[in-house]
Amino acid sequence: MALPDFELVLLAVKRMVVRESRLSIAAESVAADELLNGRLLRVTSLGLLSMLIQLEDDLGVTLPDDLFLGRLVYTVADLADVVHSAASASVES
Amino acid sequence: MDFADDVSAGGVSAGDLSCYTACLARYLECAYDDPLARVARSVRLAVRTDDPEGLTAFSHHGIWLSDLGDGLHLGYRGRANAGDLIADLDGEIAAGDGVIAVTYSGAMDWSIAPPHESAPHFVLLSARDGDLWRVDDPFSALLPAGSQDPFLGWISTARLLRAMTPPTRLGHEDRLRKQHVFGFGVPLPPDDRYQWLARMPAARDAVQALPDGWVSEPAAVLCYLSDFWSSLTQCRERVRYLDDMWASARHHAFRYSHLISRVRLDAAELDAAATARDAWNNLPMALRFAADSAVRGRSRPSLIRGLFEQLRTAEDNVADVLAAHGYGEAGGFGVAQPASQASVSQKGRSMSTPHPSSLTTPSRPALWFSALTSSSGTGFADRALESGRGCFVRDVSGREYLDARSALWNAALGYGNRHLIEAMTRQLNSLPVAQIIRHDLPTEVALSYAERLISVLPDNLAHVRFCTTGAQAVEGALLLSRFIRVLRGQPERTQVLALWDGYHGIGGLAGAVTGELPIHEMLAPLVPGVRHVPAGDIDALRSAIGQIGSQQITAMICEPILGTDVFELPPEYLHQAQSLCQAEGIHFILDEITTGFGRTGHITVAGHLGLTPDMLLVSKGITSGYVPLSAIAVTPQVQELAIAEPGMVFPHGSTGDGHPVAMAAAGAVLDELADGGVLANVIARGEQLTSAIREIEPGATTISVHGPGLMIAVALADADGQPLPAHIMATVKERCKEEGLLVSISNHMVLLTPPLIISSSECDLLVERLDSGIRQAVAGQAVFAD
Repeated sequence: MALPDFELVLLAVKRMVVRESRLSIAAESVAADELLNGRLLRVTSLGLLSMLIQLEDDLGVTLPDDLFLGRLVYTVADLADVVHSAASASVES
Repeated sequence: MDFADDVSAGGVSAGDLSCYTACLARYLECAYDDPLARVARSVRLAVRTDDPEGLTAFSHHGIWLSDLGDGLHLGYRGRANAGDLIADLDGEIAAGDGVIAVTYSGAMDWSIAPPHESAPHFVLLSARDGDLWRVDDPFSALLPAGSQDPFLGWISTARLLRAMTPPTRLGHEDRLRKQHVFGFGVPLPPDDRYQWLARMPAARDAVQALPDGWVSEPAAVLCYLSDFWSSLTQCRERVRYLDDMWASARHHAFRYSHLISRVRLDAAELDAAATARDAWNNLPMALRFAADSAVRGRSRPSLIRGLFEQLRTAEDNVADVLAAHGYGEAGGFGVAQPASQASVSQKGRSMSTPHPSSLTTPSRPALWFSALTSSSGTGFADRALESGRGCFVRDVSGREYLDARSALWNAALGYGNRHLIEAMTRQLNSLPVAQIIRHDLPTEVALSYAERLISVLPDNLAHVRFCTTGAQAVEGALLLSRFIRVLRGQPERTQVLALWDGYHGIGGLAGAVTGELPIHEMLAPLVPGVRHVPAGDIDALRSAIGQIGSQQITAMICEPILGTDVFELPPEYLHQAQSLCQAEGIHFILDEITTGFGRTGHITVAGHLGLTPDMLLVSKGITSGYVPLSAIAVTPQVQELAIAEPGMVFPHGSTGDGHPVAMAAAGAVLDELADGGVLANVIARGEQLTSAIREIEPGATTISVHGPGLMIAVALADADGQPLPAHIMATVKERCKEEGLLVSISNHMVLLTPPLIISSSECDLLVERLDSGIRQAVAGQAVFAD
């Protein structure tokens, strides 16, 4: 099984973020460095939590147990990185 | 993961605390110069592990927060009788510092908590004037149900009593929370009583120590909780304590924010305090993630252990900082000094705060509402609606109704939708009023919403005019059709075709195209130039066109589903009528004022059926009824013809059309519908309701049910199959209302058009109340026939 492409993960995350933010914009138009809780996306902690669970279900990955320990998740790319790392870890194992 | 949105790193306020403590902190302003410092320095976490019922209790304060100084404490009092309660509350307020009332979140109009999740809550009553009580509820938070804002305002005695009425069942964990709200256990009055906090002499045994069975040493508590939450997969009922952990995290984050903002710290101290604050802020989301994982069968023990290990490290690192600055038990905190009595009186809340003037109730009210007749009586004053949440509305007497008519089919997203309210509030704050009918500066919000609206309508529609009401849109569309004829040199082409039993509103031209004879008789003489044909009969339509002559006809207007009796026009009829009209150059106008925006499970029926009308009308659900708005969407060809003549502007519109707040609300409705969840719910709940209502079998008869999505008609007939007479149908409506269900009646049908967000359990409740209402109305009669 090949390692997942980061760009594909990023796009999946963008789609989820757009849905969570209830925006009617193309997912592709969201910048990777867009702040999750910034003026555009306005994701709350509960919204982020909801997305984490959906990401696990939709992408079939298991997010790491150190998810909440010292990680900084401010941007769309940060979140995609967490998911991509999890997906890569599951492939390698 | 660092993603805090709870307690800020900057200044602190009472609203940053849990609901109990926020109110206590506000009340303690009467006794302490700096009550927030007292609360911040009281923060601790202790856990009782030997509850006889196997439950877990939490204590969040290491000193008595009920201590008012001078030998006085706050303690619970209860009254079973409302009159006695009012007298006691009066006495407390008269003493000058207000009184804390125990309320229940699900019964508070300003709370986002749904009624079925009602939990004890504290509010401060700071003044009374006649029937009005001034309420101060500083609590604010992001909760699973949405964003809870503070409340400061006046409420009536009836609303206060309702808010203070305990729910039927109060969970044991709720009692434990109330019992330990001051940091140490106190007696509680019986659950079935109104409760408040009264000033009373301190009990002699008010010691500042917890009994055996409690773990209070910080490292031991965190160790215990690590084990406690690690076994979540085996003990899923422990999710009920997430609220306690949330409260603890909030208090600890508050403590560190207070420390950071009020004390000059060196860089190392600041880092330790900020790390601890962030670790506590992190805890609720992480625990909820673990709980959700457990529910989905994924155990996360190492995540839990890592969390509490992180907290323990952070607490270890900050312990010396706390001790150095007098925070918490680690700092050997002593009892704060009460403020002087002089300052107490100076800090008492003003009795002269402005308040609404009292209302007078003459024998007949000033309001002439449309349903009023000489036989209406006067009882409706006690049933005036004053609040709503979700699918329910509540009247001034406290009765709650499941609103199965969505106000007038328009409250599509129910009551209290936070996203809509916030969007409208933002718009009010930026541009609260503007106009789009006279000058050439349309609003940005109208420009952008128009693009969004067109994007969800049938592809052939490209432009939209905004109006205010549905009837205005109907008249606007017909007048627009005639205006185009004038521009094209066809002034004789004025006739309009409409359907018998169709409904297009009340008013000059709208009342004329509405196909209901009683309305025609009452509004006579009607505006001329309208011909009605039987609904669904394509031959009759073709014949009418032939008789009138297509060159005399400007437009045909119809609803895809006649709202009056929820009569669905066959799709083939709609396609044929459209083809027939458009082949003859007749504008085909589809009125989707009732069906648009999800009522049938689709944004529009036209879109669902692939229709391409020349004009399409929407309203009602477009803003969920929060503010009036309607729209006329047209094809590029229609617009091109209407604006073809330089200097000739279609003369139609009213001052408030396309109001910016309506635009904002409408945009928020599209947000809510964007993911398809609401539309899917309409289909699922519609099928559930239809199926369940068919199961109702009073006597040996059945009920006839029809209608798509959440646009449902329940036809009632007697044993011989004859439609029930109007007086029995009126009784059905009244009995349903008595049962707590609001329905519409049309001829012999009960119409059900609940909010599109109605849940499965609310559908069960609807059917139960409908069944009971019908049974009572037709008691003893076999009335149902299919």
